[in-house]
Amino acid sequence: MNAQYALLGILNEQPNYGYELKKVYDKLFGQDKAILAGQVYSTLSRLKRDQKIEEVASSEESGGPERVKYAITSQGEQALRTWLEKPEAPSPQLQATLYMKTVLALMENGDGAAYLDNQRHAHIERMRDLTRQRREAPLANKLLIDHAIFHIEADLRWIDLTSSRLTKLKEELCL
Amino acid sequence: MPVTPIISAKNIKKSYGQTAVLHGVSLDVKPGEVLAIMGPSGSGKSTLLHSLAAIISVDSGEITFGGRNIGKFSDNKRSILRRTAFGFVFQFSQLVPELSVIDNVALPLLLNGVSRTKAYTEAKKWLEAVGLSDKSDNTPGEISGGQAQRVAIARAMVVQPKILFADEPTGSLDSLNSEHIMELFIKTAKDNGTTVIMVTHEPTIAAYADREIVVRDGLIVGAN
Repeated sequence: MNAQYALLGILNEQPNYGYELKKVYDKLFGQDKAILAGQVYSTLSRLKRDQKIEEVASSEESGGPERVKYAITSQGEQALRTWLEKPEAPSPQLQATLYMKTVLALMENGDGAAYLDNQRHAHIERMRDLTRQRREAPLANKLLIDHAIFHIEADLRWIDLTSSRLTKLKEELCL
Repeated sequence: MPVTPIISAKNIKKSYGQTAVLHGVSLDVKPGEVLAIMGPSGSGKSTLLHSLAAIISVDSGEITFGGRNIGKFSDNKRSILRRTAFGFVFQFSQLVPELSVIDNVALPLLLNGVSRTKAYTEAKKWLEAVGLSDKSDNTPGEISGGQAQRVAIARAMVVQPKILFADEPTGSLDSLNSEHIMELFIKTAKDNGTTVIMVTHEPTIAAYADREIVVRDGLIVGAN
């Protein structure tokens, strides 16, 4: 999760305090892991330096320690809009480790199937855990779990396809 | 103390003509367990399911269910076993298109000689359990694919099967409907202590099982 844009997005709703921003962030995006307060303040500090947010006068008169309220600037609004409009590039990363292990298993004993079977089992185990978690999860969490499940599914498709191509791979790599 | 399997296959072999499909498969399934059988096309996974479900007989080896070797049962005995002890859910719900939804659900009981009143009372109960009471009088052509699969689950459960066999139970559905059907399918089976054995090539469906096995070239391979 890109904390910088998440905080800009929250501030785009209304000006807010650092601690309140953390609470909203955790509610919306912190299902797996809450953001550290330190990270919130360091990110706010960078955003302020880059003039994407500014400090505004606080109307609160609590008598407690003075708190700083932040608001998004027009520069921040523009940065947020540009980021939202830009599609994310699909990850170009190849299954480097899985591929390497498959080849090394072929080199070691001439058969990568056992390695791929174990890997498939481990992937399905993880998918099983996530499927269980999804059952009781609120919708926001469900969507995140769906995303994780479909990524594991992509790996599993690769594992299945590679299992069917092992003989050919062995020939092609002269193993 | 080890649990006695509800169904057990020991070194089963099956060929179609000259083509050997199962090369000696052994497998134990515990009562109440949900098992997924995975594997590539042509691996023998459906033949294994059909053998366990007494849809086909095996050439050699034993399939033990209820203390008897059902692998060599006659056609007639296998047919009775399927009607009374097993339930089936297939990829396409395979409902009888001319009958209403409730008629489809009551049908297995009527075929088993259960009285009409009891059959329809049970059918109504199961339609309620799958959330389709309001579709009782519709025909299969008037309901969606997801609803038809719900009806298929009700029809499979109405005989209170010991084992529920499923072959790609969500194969014709989109992701959201698949999730709804699998949640219902597994909950229904677990609530009733029914063992489930299902064939699927989809890992997202296998993930609903307690355990998966992979069949390749007529043998069970890998960790399970």
